[in-house]
Amino acid sequence: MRNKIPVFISAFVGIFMILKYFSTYPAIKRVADELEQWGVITLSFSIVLGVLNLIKINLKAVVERKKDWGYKLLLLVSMFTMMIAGGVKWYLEEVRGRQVNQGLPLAVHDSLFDFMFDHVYFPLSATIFALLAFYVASAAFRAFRAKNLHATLLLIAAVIVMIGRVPVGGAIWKGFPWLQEWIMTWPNTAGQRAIQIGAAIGMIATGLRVILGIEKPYLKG
Amino acid sequence: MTGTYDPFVETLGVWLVCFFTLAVFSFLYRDNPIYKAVEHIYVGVAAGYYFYQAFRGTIYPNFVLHVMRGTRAIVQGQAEGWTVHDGWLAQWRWGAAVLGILLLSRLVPRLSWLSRWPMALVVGAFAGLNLTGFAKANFIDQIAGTMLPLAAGGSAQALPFWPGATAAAPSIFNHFVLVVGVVTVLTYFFFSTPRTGMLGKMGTVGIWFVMMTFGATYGSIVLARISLLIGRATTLLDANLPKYGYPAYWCALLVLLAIVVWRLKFCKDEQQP
Repeated sequence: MRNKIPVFISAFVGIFMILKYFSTYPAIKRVADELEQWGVITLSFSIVLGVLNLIKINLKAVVERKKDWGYKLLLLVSMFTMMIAGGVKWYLEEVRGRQVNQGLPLAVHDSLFDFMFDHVYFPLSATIFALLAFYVASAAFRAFRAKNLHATLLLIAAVIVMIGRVPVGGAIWKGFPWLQEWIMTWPNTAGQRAIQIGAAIGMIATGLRVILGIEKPYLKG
Repeated sequence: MTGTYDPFVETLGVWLVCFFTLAVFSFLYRDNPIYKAVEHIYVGVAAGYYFYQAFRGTIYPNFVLHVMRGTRAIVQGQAEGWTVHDGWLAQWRWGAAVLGILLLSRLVPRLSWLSRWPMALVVGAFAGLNLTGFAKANFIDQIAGTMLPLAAGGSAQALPFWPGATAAAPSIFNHFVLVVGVVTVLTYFFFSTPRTGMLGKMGTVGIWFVMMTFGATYGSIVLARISLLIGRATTLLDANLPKYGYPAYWCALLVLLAIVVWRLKFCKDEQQP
């Protein structure tokens, strides 16, 4: 039962998803839509699972005063603050909002949740990604060496794209913006398209293997 | 920013933005307590944000509101366009919640095998959806998009260099580049037979295209990251106004002092990296 039922569920749901695409029969579409919603809702619970796991691991470290427990306490405090702020926003918009707005949700833009999103989550997220600029530049310094024809092609394409997209490129030579657009539109599209076709073939094969029960990733762990 | 706040809250927000931005940049010196603290705050806030999004964006509308509407239809005989029959059909959605709760059994090792059922549902659903979705968008549509005219005729231009031509304008030469690129790159990734003779030559041309693609992608990524970096610098400059009390200067000083104190007091015996 532990192994057979999951294989049956996976095959049943997968077949309905394929039938939904090809069939015009309303009952099949309705069942497939419902199963798709089940999948979306179940997937959302995986975030709940992740959050519970985060609480379990970090709370244990804080209670047992393990190494760096102070940082883990900060993590828990910020997480609970954001969750409570989210709960308050939901209440203001959905519960109280519907009472005062003829049954429709009300948009609130100055809640603690919005404040934390604007002034904590967004700047931290953007700066962490911006930090990668230094590492990408350092990696480029090591990777862009014209050792052979292949590395030279990589270097030339990257340099033209980088120079052609900034105003100074056009100031150096008017052809740079045109050339970078040409590389992005034609040779780059050709490579990306072939990679996409290859990935799609892999995806179709993996999907079929999962639906037919040959591949069973959900039985692991 | 999405919110509009009163002046005090706005000033507090600007100070927070400056502090968090500079605290993250302190990592460029080396891993330090200020960076570690804001890194943990980021993980916590992100977890809280995604938890809210999961509830508000999916569980609440697709389960709670759906079932409540169905229940109202059953109790009142008809509600918001739904009949009693629709109301009973909506109650099937409880199955999704039960499977969602079964997913949480992973936290209890003795019962963790129960989480295979919801996992199987998710994997099966997305395998089926992706199978048809990828087959259409990434396979058939891409092949169809590569079926381009390769001979001059009508108004088609042979070369892409006529006066006023944009780089993206279709021409026989550009079509030729695209078709040859797709076919040769696919040949390069075809591992079922040894790449000798004609196949080998096509594969060689294919790898030239792959290298140009990777170079162009890498160049775009470098520019995107630098653009983000400029964005953060602009944010600091825009926030560093007298009406806010020059928060960028003060926060920079605070971060610097914290690093100096930490370096002198707690890392005396450590060697420089």
